[in-house]
Amino acid sequence: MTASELFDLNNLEQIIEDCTSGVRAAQNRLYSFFAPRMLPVCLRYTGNREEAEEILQEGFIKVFMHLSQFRREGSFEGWVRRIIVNVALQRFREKARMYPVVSIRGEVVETAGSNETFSRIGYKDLLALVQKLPPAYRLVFNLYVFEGMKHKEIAEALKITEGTSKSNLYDARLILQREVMKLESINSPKLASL
Amino acid sequence: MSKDLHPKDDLFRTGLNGKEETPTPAVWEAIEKELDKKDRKPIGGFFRMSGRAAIVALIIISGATLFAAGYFIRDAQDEKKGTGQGALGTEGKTVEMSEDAEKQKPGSSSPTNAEPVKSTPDQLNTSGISPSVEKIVVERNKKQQPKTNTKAKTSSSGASSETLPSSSISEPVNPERQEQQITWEMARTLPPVKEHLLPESSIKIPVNDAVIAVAKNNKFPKAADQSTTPTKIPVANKKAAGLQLSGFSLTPYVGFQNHSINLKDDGSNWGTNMRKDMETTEHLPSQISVGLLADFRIAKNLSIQSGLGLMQLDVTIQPKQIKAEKDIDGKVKYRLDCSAGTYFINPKQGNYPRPGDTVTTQLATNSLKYLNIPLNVKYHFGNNKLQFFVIAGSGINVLTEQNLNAMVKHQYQYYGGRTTNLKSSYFNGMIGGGATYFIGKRVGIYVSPQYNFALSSMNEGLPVKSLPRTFNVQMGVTIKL
Repeated sequence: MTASELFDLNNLEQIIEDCTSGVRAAQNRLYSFFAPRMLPVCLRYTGNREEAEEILQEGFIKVFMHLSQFRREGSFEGWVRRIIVNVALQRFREKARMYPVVSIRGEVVETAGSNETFSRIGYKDLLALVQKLPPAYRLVFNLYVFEGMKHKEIAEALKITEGTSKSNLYDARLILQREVMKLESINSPKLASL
Repeated sequence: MSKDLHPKDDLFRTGLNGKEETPTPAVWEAIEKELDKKDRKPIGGFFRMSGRAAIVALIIISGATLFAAGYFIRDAQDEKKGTGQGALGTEGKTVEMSEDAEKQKPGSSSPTNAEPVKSTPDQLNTSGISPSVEKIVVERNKKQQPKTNTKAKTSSSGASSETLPSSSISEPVNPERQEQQITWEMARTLPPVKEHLLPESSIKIPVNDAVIAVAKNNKFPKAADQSTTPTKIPVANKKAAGLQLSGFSLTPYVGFQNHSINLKDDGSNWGTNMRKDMETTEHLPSQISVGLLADFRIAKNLSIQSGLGLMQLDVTIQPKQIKAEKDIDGKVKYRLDCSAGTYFINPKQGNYPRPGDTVTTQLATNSLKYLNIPLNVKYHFGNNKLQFFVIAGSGINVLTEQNLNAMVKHQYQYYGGRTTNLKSSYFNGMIGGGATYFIGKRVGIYVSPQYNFALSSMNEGLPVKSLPRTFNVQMGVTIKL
């Protein structure tokens, strides 16, 4: 029986109240349920697991500290996720100067593989591809693809221009495409030769 | 161009969304620690202040102890050596300069009929001491006989007034012992004495070891001018000399304690049920505590008290049904909640439990040992024989040892260990009163009934806060230093 099964969503309201009151056992339950769902999000925004867990930790501390501000207007999971993403953004801003500037030369070309073969790539491979992206590209790609943000919103969030956002997304896609092709060529040489 | 990749965006989205990965347990531990810190913040200021106040008080008390002990030792040494002012005029012996001594004195003449000068313990008899004497030192150590300052010498009967070449005089007092000299010195602060003569054959001075005399001139009048009525000069008593050695006292005690725990739930159903369960199943037997209290008097009727106490808190838990749950490491164990935290029982027999499985515990005991460091203020009243006091203050209780022993029904095997959710320390307040009956100048019998109440809970992370309360009767012996 997993932590998810142990967690009764019908009791979510009560658990949130208990968490707000500082009941550690309730906080543990909430964490046990949502942390496994949030860790993949953190992993996408970072280059390694350690950093992802740091974001997860910081994110959940903020969740517990600001739980009283949850207005029950949307899903609780969405609210938790927004906090986690914000922590990731904040980290990026803090470390932005440390990241090297990557120049990508090339164009996005037609992918050789079909969607069907592409979808054969597993979760871990896909995650590894995203994690290999340069931090700025990874961030824009995540915000655009997974959070559904527009370039304007991304530009505001990251304090960059819309053009930079578009450029970063383009470069991210380009890198991912190359890596996917490499991966496919390894996994199925025949397809790669097509 | 980017249109070509949009479908791939979807593939990434679907390939990575909705997945789950379990973080390492260290993440939750770190979160828990951080939350603990944040939880303490609102009241942290008070406790930080209490902690600082306790440290400051301990420093003050330690300093005062050293000061008092140093003063006491110095006073004792002075009493032995006879060189200090602390011995001046206090329960002193009468030192008599015998005629033999006078005889052995170089230049001393035969004894006269002059009466020896005596003084009471509270008064320094200066008859026979010339007003001109500025400083007469009587030393007891022959080896340290002054070499050049032995310039003034007592005059003998019938002798004409001698001129003292110096402001000090040194005399061998006891010729039999031949190892002591008496050094006299009269404090400058003493009232000026006019027309007094040195004793002819003997000088008796109420001192433990020494007398200090001061003379301004170097002349001793003739023996014939001696006054038979000694001029009495009040000697500075201990108080004037700044010696209040009774300001510090130690009290080793034994305490008879009756414990109870005030349980407060957070209002949730879980909390309410847990509190009711604890109230019905837990019992606290009486205990004995021991400790040492140090009192330092800061005003006439006021003193600060600190010290160390060892307290034991045993909680017996009646048999009850407990459920299996995941512990912090994700392992399913039977969870036993009590006022002093949570204990997870990992069964050594039978099948591994699944969440929701239940077992019944036999009688369990939870033993807690705390080191108590109080910081109290005492107000005294009464007389020197019987002193009453009221006392109030706070203290910190530091957990030194904890062990929960439990047995699961039909398993006949003991499980023991530490509970989780138990704080390493908690603060308490205290009010009380009592009395000290002195059977001597320094020793008294001490009795003090007190009520201790927790200011912070002893546990954390549970919907029920446990606040220990203790009615305590301390009995001990107070020793004034």
